[in-house]
Amino acid sequence: MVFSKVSMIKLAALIVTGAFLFNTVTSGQETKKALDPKAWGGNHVGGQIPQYVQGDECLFCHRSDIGPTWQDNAHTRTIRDRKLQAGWDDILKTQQSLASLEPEIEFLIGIRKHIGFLKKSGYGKFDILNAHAVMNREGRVESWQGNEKPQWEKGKFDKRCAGCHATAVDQASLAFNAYALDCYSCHGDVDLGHTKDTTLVLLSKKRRKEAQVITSLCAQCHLRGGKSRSTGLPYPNTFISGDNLFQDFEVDFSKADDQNLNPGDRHIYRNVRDVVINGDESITCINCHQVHTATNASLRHRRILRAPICTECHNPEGSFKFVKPYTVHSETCEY
Amino acid sequence: MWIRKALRDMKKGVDSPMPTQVVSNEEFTPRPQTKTQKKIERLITEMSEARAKKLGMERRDFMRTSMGMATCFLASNIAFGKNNWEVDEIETWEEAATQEKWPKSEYFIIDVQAHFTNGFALNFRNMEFVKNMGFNLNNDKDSYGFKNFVKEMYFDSETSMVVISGVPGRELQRDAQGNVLEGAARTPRGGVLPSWLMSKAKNEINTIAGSQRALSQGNLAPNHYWNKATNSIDKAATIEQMEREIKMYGINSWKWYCHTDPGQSGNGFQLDDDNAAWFMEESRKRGMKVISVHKGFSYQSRTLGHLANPKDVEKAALNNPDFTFVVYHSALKHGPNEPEWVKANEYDPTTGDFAWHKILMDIKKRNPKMKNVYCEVGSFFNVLAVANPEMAMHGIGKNIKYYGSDHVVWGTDCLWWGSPQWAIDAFKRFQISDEMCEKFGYKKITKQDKANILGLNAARIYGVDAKAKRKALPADALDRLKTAYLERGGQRANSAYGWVRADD
Repeated sequence: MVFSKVSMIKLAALIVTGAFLFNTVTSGQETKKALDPKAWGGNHVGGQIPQYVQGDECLFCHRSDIGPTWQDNAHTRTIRDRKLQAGWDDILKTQQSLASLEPEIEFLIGIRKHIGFLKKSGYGKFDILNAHAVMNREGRVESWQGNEKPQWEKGKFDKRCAGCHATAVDQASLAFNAYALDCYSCHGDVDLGHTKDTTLVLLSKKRRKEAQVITSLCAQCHLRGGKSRSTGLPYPNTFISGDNLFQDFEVDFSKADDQNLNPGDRHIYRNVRDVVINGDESITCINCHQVHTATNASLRHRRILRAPICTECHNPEGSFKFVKPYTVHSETCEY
Repeated sequence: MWIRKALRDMKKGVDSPMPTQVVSNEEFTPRPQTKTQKKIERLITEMSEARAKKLGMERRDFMRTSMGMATCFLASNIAFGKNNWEVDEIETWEEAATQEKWPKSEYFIIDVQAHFTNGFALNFRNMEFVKNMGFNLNNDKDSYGFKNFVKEMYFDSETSMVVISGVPGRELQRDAQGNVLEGAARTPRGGVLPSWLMSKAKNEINTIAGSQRALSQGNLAPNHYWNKATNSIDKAATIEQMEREIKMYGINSWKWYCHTDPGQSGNGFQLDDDNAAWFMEESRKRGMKVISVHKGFSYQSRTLGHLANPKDVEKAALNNPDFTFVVYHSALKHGPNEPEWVKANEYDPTTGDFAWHKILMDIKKRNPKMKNVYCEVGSFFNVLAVANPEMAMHGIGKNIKYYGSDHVVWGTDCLWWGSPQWAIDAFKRFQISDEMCEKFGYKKITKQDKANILGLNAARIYGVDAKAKRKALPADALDRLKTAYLERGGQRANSAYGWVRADD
């Protein structure tokens, strides 16, 4: 093989450049310091809940784009009116142990694994029944827990569930503004001027590059196991999307490497750590998870990436469609 | 593969003033165009091309004349194989034929469901069934603004009077120091169409016209002011707002959305619950006894949609015979242009029953003497008529069969859908087939029925003298309104287009 002088010079330059880049990258990896997750942005810890735009107002305009799927979306089904849940009347009425309390049950909490039961207890308050149904994969009741001595528990919902199953919890009274998750939970205190400039709305198509903000707002509920430093509760204190969650929410990021943790929770920890500590902003939750779509699980992923984090759940070799089976546990949610 | 509807039409040479398919806003997969829709589209293109060529016109110009509109009705009749629309071939060739057959002054028209927005662009005009209805329908905020409201409602249509109809939202009463707020300060975030703005717009229109051309509704409802400490209605604040809306704003009706909660009460309400009963009693004392209530189209609400079911109308109407209840959308639960319409069994073609609309019909069947409930047809007739005229025959046929033509009220939900003229044209040409009359017991719609529905019934509800001469808006009205509009900060925005399947 014969190389011209010019080719040799080009090849040499390429080798030198490559070596330089390799050294830069590796030295970068060696010297890269962990970021302080608390360092950016601000928060509303302990503040008042704003007069935010409510979902019903949002849906007045967004009825044709968001409306058709929103009522079936898991975010708005975190708590559901019992009257609207087909089949549950029969299920509850056949539970003899619940006979005296069954008529008081107004709402259901939980969707896939465990279904709990609620009744109203004043403005923004629920009492929760200590008995709950364990569901199988087909969505049928598999067994019951706590139904030996069923009773209403006061204050438990406020301190454990409200932050992620209801909207806008006032930290002084622990009363929520609306049951289930309103648009405010993720989009924050929306400026009505967004009709002229959609960049004013978090998570709008023009606001999907703020990795830390996006990670914070999803992590407020999906990063299980954290707690508020200011309240000690297992959910954030007056978090308004756009805030830095980690200024008050304490998280043990070592769980990201805990092989005993289920892959689902572990991949959340890893992704959050990648963004807020490792400074890798290439992948956030909404790269893969499409919130405003049908409930069909196959549509939950916007597109299938081949990033390492995906193999927490997906098969690294062979069919990528294969998802590893795992079981989720939660101390807070008692399952 | 998806493709922008506009691009698809351009590639295919389609310029149809009638809907030819549904477009997606990216949140659901575009549905394929039906065979009938394809046929109508092809016929409209062929027929309009032939006519425009012979008349020496550009096809786009032709489609914006009454001939273009008549061509669409004729194409629809051919495609469905039935004379659903009363249209003569000659009307597709001569504008004079339409003018002679359907003179503009034939009916006194009150549109009880007309909206504009306080500087917001909405998303309605992306829906295919209203796009290009012979008009240029933009989707920017100007298109939903007050100036365009006046233009499209009064200048571009035969509508004589409008009822500016409320949307969910409440007013802030005081600032942090306790000072009473006024005007725009009562809706610091803007609000889509607050009560103060409806009242102001009504007064502007009537002042400019020099006669009564507009009425307005008030948004206040039983759950708008809530005492969170007692978890009950804040009666003092509610009465304060009631006094303001009735006396200061001069509202002509309440507009209620039972399934919304702008006061963050934690719930919606029902027409027959205790809070509504208290509200009506207080309203009765102050002489306001017309309640316009949104029913149907329930997914506007996140969690309270079930409260848009009309089942609560019965008890409220029976308990308050001196009140008038105008049930908007005739309680149609789910529009036929919306996803999952068929799958969700919202319409039974064997009986012609629509989900929730049937509940409203059954109320009247159970209470034949009940005379204080009216079925409003905004986003009911126009939506059904364009989706499938047979559905509109069932909808209007049942409304008249059970409630009588003297208890059906005209509304369009415009400007959401553009100028209401296409809906007026459609209703004038609308008739129920002999076959459906025989099979389902409907009656042929007479001119008197249409006169009742288009305006006389609303005139009775609102105490309007239908015979009074209404002055036309003066020629310089638009300039004056434009000035007022610009002072509110009006500016342009771009139109948007939805998606369809590229292989359609």
